[in-house]
Amino acid sequence: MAKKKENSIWQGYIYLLFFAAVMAAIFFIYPDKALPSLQVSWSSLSQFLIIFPAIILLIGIFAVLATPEMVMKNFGQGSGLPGALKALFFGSLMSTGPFYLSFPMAKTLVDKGATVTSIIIFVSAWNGVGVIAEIIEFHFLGPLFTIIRFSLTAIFIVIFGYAAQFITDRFFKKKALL
Amino acid sequence: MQDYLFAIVINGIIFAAWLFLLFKDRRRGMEAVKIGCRTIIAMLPLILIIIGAIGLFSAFIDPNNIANSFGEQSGWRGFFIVALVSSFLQIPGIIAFPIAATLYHNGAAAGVVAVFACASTMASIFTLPLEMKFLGKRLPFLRLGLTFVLSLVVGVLTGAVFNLFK
Repeated sequence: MAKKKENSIWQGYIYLLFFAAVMAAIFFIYPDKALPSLQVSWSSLSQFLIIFPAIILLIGIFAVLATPEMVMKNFGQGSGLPGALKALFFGSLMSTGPFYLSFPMAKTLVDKGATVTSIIIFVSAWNGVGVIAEIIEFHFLGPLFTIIRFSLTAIFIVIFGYAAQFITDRFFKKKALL
Repeated sequence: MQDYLFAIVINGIIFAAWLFLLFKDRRRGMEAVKIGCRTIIAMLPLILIIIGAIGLFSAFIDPNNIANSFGEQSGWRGFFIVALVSSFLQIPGIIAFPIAATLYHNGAAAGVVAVFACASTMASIFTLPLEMKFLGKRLPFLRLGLTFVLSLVVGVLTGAVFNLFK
């Protein structure tokens, strides 16, 4: 398993090399585009680099503290709005992991008896309003945009969590979740 | 500059939090750095490719085209096209927001940028099979459909509120 993971990391760097070759070829054909293109890349790279230490540490801190066990213990079967907000909070908190981890994690929550509302909210919050992503959003798009989009997205994730529950209850005959 | 202020403050706060963790539990503090570095090293190629692509995009695409297709005056068409295309994509937030910023600085409307940010990160058609493996057929489809609607609603509202305060 560990071996396989290492391979996939190298695979990413092979893609990067390939992409660099394509970029070099493009610049060879359009030499006048090379400088403006690299200038833009450099400015967004430097924007990334300045926030990198925070991102590295935060990913690590959350990975150590917000473990799946911790979420399992606190997620519970909380019903009503507190339960929904809990799902939103833990989804956002767990988002330091990649998106594909959100599905097995949600499955475990289903097995624990979570409702449709909290599953939809949990997975959507993990991917849509994650802590790390919000820091990046704030940094790249500014406070005004981030605050507006973040609050609206969070509110509608909760509303649509309830909508999903309503649709499931009303239109699906099979009551079992999966 | 405001950009740097936020970066410096957030770096400071998180570094302080990490020092606190390290002080409380040395082993977990070191573990945190290791996991963070490993995650970033795995993501770095994708980040660099996107940064390169952002540069190419800016050099080759005329901002006027972006403004015409996805700018304030593009109307519903811009919103729908972006929502549709984005629902095929599953982009990690770390990378989605730099792309969103590039679109915005090249003339896309704030609302359209918000549609992109929501639709590209929250659910996607490509990852549907994977999601169905764990959550059955019903929930993932429901979530994909709801995400599509959500991204349009949030996009339109974000655009309206953003322009109100801008």
